[in-house]
Amino acid sequence: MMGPGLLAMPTLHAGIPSAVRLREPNSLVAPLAIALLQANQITAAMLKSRPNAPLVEVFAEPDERALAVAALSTWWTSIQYCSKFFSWGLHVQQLPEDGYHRHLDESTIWFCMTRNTDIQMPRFALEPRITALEQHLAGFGQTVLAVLFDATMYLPNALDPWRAVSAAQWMHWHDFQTDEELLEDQREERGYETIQQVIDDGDILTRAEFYGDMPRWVTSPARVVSRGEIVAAASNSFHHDVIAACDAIAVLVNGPEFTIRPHEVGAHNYPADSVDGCMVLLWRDNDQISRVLDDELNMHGEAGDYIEFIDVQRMVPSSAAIKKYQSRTRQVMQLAQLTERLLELIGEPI
Amino acid sequence: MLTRKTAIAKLREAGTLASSGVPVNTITPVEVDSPLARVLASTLAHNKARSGPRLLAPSFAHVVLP
Repeated sequence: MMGPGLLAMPTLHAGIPSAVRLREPNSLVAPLAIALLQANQITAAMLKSRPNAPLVEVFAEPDERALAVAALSTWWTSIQYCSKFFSWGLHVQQLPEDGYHRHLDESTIWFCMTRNTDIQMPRFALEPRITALEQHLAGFGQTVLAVLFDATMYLPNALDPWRAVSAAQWMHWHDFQTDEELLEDQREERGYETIQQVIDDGDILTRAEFYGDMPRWVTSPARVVSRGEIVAAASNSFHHDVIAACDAIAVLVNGPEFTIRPHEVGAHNYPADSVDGCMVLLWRDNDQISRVLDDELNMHGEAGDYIEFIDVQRMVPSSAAIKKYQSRTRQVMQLAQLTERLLELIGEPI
Repeated sequence: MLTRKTAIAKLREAGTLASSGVPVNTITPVEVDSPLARVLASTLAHNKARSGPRLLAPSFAHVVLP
């Protein structure tokens, strides 16, 4: 008869355990919870039981994951405002350092903002109202658009004319300075006899076509008239409201407490392309801007290496890093609120 | 009573606030890459290679009739 000892698994080595578990979850939760405790986001009160708490709660084990979630949720809720268009969510996760699925650096965590998809993505056409301002005073519309352009630089990723022109540059225009050079290059590459054949092909977007329905300054707006000139020319409540909305943005971003820089906001901090945005800004509905943005997003979608975050920030968890992220994000929210007001005035919902 | 200070210390030491602590045999990613783990991995790979081809491995010629 076989003894019970014979059925046991042979031991390979005294130092080798028969089963192992990887300590995966806590490379995210424990360091984050420590940083939140140090930054006093997980407060002493949160570690105590509530008065009159049920006994199951009193005797429950403290859970660092629940504490971290509660701390981040409380803070995130505290910086929200009564928004009209923007609705964003926050989560923390680990991501591969290189944007693919390799080299997961466990000491790093990523704070990711996503657009809440349960509400419609804000979409605006800028042409009608910007043109109305421009017709009232040449340069008024462009100057207001320049304020909006600057503001979007400090907001999470947006699908806007400025992203479209940059996409058109790398997808279509490459290094060619003029349409003639571009078409000639494509004629040679495709082995056509004439330029017209290249144009008839239909899949090349020239600058002439891109800017066919909109002024060139839309993709590079400048402050061409002074505030004084605009104030002097303003003649109705719409004009005054637009001036007030721009003034509010200027006061915020020029204030001593506004310390963020454009490179600190957006999804470009992660080495994969984002296919989402906090809003869509077009010149007109179904214009060339939307065509280019569509092509670009489609290209990223087909490549497969993309993210759906509109803002991604890398962090090695620490008290200082948490406080820095919170300060930055609070400022982003303040600017978002003021930008919504401007959009409400100069954007036509589509 | 858990305070912020003790909570930080406990998280640093045990990796969790749960009183049961980390389950035994929990290994860190560093330990996974240790010399002993490498020897084990190569031994397993060597022996696995000698276990012969898998006859039931699916192939494009492997047709499953309805």
